Parts: sequence; structure tokens; C-alpha cells
Amino acid sequence: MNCTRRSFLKGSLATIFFSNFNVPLYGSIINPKKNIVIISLRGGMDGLTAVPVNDNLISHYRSDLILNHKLKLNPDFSLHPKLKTLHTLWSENLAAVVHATNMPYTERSHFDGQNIMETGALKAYTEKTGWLGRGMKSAGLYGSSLALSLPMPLLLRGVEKNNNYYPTWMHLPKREVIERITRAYDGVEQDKLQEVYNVIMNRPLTMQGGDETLDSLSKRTAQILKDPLGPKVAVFDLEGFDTHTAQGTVNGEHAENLQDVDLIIKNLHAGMGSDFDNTLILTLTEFGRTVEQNGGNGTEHGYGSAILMAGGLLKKSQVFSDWPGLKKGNLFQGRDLLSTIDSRSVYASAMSAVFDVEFDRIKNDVFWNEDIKDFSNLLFRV
Amino acid sequence: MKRDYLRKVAFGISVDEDVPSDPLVWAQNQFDVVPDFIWEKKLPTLDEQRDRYGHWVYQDREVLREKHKNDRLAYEKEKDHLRNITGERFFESLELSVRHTNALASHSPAFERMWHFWGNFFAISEKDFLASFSTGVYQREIIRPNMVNTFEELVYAVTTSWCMLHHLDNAENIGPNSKEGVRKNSDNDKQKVGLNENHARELLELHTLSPDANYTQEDVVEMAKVMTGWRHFWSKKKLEAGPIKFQPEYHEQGPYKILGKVYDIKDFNTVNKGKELKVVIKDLANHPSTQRHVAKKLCQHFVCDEPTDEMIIPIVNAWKKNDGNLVEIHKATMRTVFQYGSNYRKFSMPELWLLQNAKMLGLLYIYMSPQGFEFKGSKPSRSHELVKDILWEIGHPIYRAKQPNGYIDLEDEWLSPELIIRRLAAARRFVNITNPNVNYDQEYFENVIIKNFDHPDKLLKLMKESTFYADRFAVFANSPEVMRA
Repeated sequence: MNCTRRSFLKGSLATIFFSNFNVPLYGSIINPKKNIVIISLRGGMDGLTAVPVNDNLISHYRSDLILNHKLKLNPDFSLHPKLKTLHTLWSENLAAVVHATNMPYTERSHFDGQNIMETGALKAYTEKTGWLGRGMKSAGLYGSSLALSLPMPLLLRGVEKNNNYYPTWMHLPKREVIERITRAYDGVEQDKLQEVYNVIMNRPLTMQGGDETLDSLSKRTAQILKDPLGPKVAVFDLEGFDTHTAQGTVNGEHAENLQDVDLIIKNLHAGMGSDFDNTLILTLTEFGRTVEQNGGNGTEHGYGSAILMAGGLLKKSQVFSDWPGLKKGNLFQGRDLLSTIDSRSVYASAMSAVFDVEFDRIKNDVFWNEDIKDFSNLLFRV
Repeated sequence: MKRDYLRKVAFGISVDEDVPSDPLVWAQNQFDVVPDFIWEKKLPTLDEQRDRYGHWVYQDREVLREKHKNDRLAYEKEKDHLRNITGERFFESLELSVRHTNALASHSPAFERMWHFWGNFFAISEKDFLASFSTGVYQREIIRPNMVNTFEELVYAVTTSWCMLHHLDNAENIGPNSKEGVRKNSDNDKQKVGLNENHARELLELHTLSPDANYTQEDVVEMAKVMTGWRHFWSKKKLEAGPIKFQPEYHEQGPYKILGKVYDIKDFNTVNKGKELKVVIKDLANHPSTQRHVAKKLCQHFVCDEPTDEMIIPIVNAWKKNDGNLVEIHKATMRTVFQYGSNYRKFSMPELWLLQNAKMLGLLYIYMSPQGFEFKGSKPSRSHELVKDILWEIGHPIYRAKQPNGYIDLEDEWLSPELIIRRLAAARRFVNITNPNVNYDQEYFENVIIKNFDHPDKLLKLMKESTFYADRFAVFANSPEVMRA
């Protein structure tokens, strides 16, 4: 995969729009809108860099990747120093981690792994829809998503009327031109395009223009999610976690990638105000990386990783883990952090908590009644 | 139906062209021979591109990573240079420019449309560096010449190509009882090897039978066994970019049982081992489910999202009558479109929409076309990259489908607001790539519309209302008549 292309740093903001126009305002006041934000970390996030464990064995495996200035969470775990916001939120019970977790996928291909992380299936390419899309469908949430990417991510497929937004340097024609085009569809039988043009024209003007950075995009997303009529589901897509070489420690490639994650969380927290209380942010990656460093001071594709979580819908600050240990015999195939928690249990529990749908229904409708566990009460405020 | 048909099976016609007197004959006559590329400069071969791919991954993975392991900036800098000198940045733009040149200037535009169809049917999705180096040339060398052969020959060529084998990981598909499988699995320090079903599954699901054939997981496993041994020749300096060679030491012995039929090893002598795949593909390629699957996909591409039996069956019949000869399958498809197309308005995927606009309006955005340009060891300029950039902006980077099933030819896939915004915005910019020798006045649009639409009245009226010059392009391109063909 192409890991040098930092998609979010390209282009400029042109447009943005809301969905879910038909939700009455008073409904939102009685029952505050709950939001879920998924940040895809493509390339394979190194859980041991993001959330290092306090274990002397680590220096035996990866002497060139040891972190200084770690941000302590508890006696056993710390955060990478670039995850400053997450650390601050931790002290307010607004951040948590699930560690030694992954999709049940052990083959180490980005290609298959990313397919599985999005479909939630046991085998790559066996499903054409995403677990989040199916979850929304199960909860009856239509037109409630916003993908911050141009092609609709596989993760959201499976439910109708998804929206997406992605910066482009190009500008729209003048409003009157779009109006003329829209009118041209009058009387054209059953053409869904007219509805799309109407959606495009109903974007608030304040959401046009702006600059091209992830900083700007995540700030805008905060405003969109804050809107009681806005979407409830947002999906960010970050690339570049595939650090085979010069992975770095406090600084370096993996550190910069983590900083991007922290930036999204920071902007959502700052921008959403009290609505952050009704929000849950979770990361998603295809696999972790080898415990041992490779010849290029990087790491290879592995298995177990970590899920970073933030938001007011968390039950409390915690590192939720059935920690497998780092002794050679404890590692998966003698090389990777073992995954002891099927991450689908976490995502299913999160959807159950945010969408207010029983866990068993999600388990059935989204994950084919496979053997996943209900962590809703342990991890989330329900 | 006469004029609409030209947009349904091709890209429409330019203002200088005459409407063919018999559009069906016009279309059908385009399929007997493979048209040449108009590009005058020399085009890279697949072997050359495989070498370049190999050089790029070897230098990056084995040399630079070690050399700069403590200095990421130096690593990035040298990698950037490597990108330029290997053409990692260049060839995607080159291939897309070649593709668009032929689409717009060839005398066989219906053939070009069909070529695009097969490229997507046998999609190489975005994986590693395939899009950068080899997907374009794979479509030129593997798919295109086989479009006058049988479907069976086309499937076999695709299945045994380096691009598809690499794309679907068949090198990792190793017979557990093969010589190499046994050897690797007896070494406790090495990772265990075994079957990898990826390629076998896609061969059955996408490239031949489709799930309608109700094959089982067991069939997939058996197919994977047949495919063991089909892999690149690995060497230290070329890594996975070596040539494809059937390697018996990785091959799982039969007999195999696929869809109830037993393929017994006794039928194949040692020399012929690799031919098992050919024998199985012969059956798969001519299976009734495959015929129907392919015919349906063709109708879905050219006619409507939910084709009916009356459209599909004539294509299947042509297939049966001519033993899967693609020339006849293509001609039957042209007839189906001619018979049923006028009842439907098929939503155009972004690239097709761009090409239709470019054809009708004479847009100029392909650098140096048709004389062409070639790779000279440096990075592409913005002019070189324009075709690629526009496709990227409208959400249709042809060689970068996210999944092996390619871009999905159903309108619901393409109706997301952001994707429609991109077409509005891109069409607004058409004014920057117009032909400087053309006066895009009302009369010009009138001529274009009359030549390309059977029912031009509404569109003519719409264009008359668009008095402001720059707006005309956005209005024309996003009109109901142009968004669908």
C-alpha cells in the first residue's frame, strides 16, 4: 500500500453538508444525540508504541524503539508522548484503551487485513458490507453517517443514504447554476440525482471553503456532530502506520501518525463542548506489529494491537486487557503480541451502547452470531 | 434509436463526425480485430514494468531501509529520488493517457469501451505498487489481445499473469504436501505454509462462476490446490517481481474434485502438471453459470442495473453457438443494447462521463496526445498527470479499485453527494481544457446535441437558458441527458 500519501493534507475544503434533516429538534433535546467516531489507522498500528507496557523485556526486543517521556496511565501501561490529549482526557475518565486486541486475523496482509477490519468477517472478501453499515442498518439509522473520504468506505456500506465529504481544491459552480441543473430534473422519472443536488444545495454556506488540513477537517467534523440534526456516525481514514523502517520513538513516523489521531480527538473534544459527553471515539486497525524490531529499526506486520478510545460515553479510564505477556512463549508464533480480545466484541459493544440497540441484536445482525462478548457494561456508559 | 446508441456503446461523437447510417453495424464492425494504439511513442512492456517494479521494491526494501535506518529524512529523500528514477510516479499517468487517447481518437470507440469493461471485470485492485507500474500494461498486454479470442483463453491469460497472481497472493498458496510445503513445515523456526485461497476464491466468484453456481468452500479449497505452483520466480534481487513459472515443487497433487467433477492426476503426466489449471479453467469458463454471470455483467454495464433475461439470454446463446468466442459475444452485446437500450437510462460511472464529455465537447487534457510522451527517468510534470488528476478528483482512479471486484457498475454506488459535487466542480473546470480553435457558442452546443441525442429538445432548451459562457459546461455535463446514457 502507498503509505507516503497523507490524504488529509491534500486539497482544500470546498463543501460540506448535513444529513438527517428530518429529525425534529425537540426530539434531540429530550434524547441527546449520541455519536460514534471511528478512526481507521491503515498500515497496522503498533500497539506497543501507542500504549507501551511497563515490562523490561521490551528493551530486549526493541532496543532502538524505546520511548522516553512516556505518559503514565497506571503502573502497567503508559501512552506515547504524542498522545497528550488522550492523556489529559484519561484523568477526566474520558479516555480508555483496549489492549492486546485485534480482529481474528493472523495472516499479516494489509490487503486482506483491511478488508477484514472493515467487514468484520473471518475471511477477506467474503462480505461486501461493513460492520458499521450493518450496525446502522440494524439500528434503523439511515442517512446518519458522514465519511471523511471520497469513496464511501467499505466500513459504512450496507446501509442506505450515507454521506461523505472530502476536501478538494476544486470549486462548485455558482448556486444558480446548480439550481438550473436541479430544475432540469423536474419531471425526469424516478431520478435520484435531483435529491442529491438538493442535498448539495442545502449545505449551510458556513461549511464551504476553509483550508485543507486534518486540523481543519476535524474541527469541522466537531461542528457537524454537534448539530442535533447532523450525522451520528463519522469515519476518519488515516494512513501511514506501516512503519517497516526508521519507525522512530518519541519522534518519527509512527509518532507523527499518533499525533494525527490525538489531533482529531483534541479537536472533537474542544469543538463539541458538552456534546463530547455523548460521543464515543474508537480507533480501528488491521493488525499490530512485531514485538521485535527488524533490521531497519522498524517493525513487521503482526497480530495484536490496541484500540484507543475517548469520549463521554466511556464508563471510566482503564486499560481493558487480558494481557498475554511478552515472553517468547507468550507471543503469537513467537513474534507478535497475542490478541486475547476479539476486537469485534469491542465494536459490537460500542454500537450497542451508542445506537441503544441490544447487544444480542448487533451480534446477530452484524456479526452472524459469532462468538463475541458483550463488554457494554464494562467499557461504556449504557 | 440511433444517436443515443452512440453514447450507450461508445462515447458519443464529436461535432466533426457524421452519425453512422447503421449504428448497430457500425458498432459490431469494431470487434473483429484488435485496434492499434494511436500513441506514437514507444510503450513499455509488461516484462519491463515487472523489472522496474522489482528494482523499486528491492532498492527500497533491501537497500535504503538498511542504509538509512537511523535517519528517516535521508531515507525519505532517497526514496523520493528512487520513485522518480524508477517511474513509480510516472507510469500510471502514462497508461491513463494512452487509454484516454484511444478512447477519444480511435475509429473503434466501442471496442475501447469493451476494453474498459474487461479491465474492470478482471480488476487489479490497489495493492502494493501494481497501479504505479503494471496495471495499465496488464490491460494492454493481457486483456486487450485476448478480446478476439475465447473467454476461456482470456481467463487463462489473466489467471496466469504475474499481475493477477501477485494481486491475489497466489505465491503464498503452497501445497502442504508438496516438496517445498513439507520442507518448510518441517523447519520449526519457519512460519508454516499452506493453501491460500484468495486467488482461487476470486477466480470462482468474480472471474468465472459467480456465487449463483452454488459452489462450496470445499470447491474453493480444491481450486486452490489446482492453483498451487503458479507463482513468480523468486530471486534475491528481484524479489516478488520475477517472471511467472509453474513450479511443481510447490504443487499439491490431485485428484481434485470441483463442482462434483473429479480431475485425476493420472490424466496429467509430469511434464503437463501445470496444465491442470488449463483443463479446470476450460470447464469453469464454459460453465452455464459463468456464461450467465458474464452476460449479466455486460448488460449491467451497457443497459441497466437490473438486466432481464431477454437481454441476457441472446448473449448466452451467442456464447454457446460460438464456443465462447468473444468477438461474437461482443457483437451480441451490441445487439442487445440496440434492442433494449432505449428503454433505460444507464448512469455513467465517472470516467465514462468524463470521456463522453471530452468526446462531445472536444476537450483537450491529454498531454502531447496523440504523439505521446515517454518515460525519461524523471518525475512527471503536472501536464503529464492531468488525466490521472481529473480521474482522482472525480473519484474514479481506474487502477486503484479498493477491492478485486473492481468498480461496481450500479448507480447507488455513485450517487453519494461528494461524488456528485466532484462532477459539478470538475465540469466547471472544463472551460480550462477546451479546444482553443473552437468557439463554444450556442450553435456549437446545438450541433453537438443534435448529433448525440435522439430527443434533444429539453437539453437544447436548457443550454439556451445558459447564456453565461463558463456555466455552459457545468450545465451540459450535469444535465439528466449527459449524466446517464
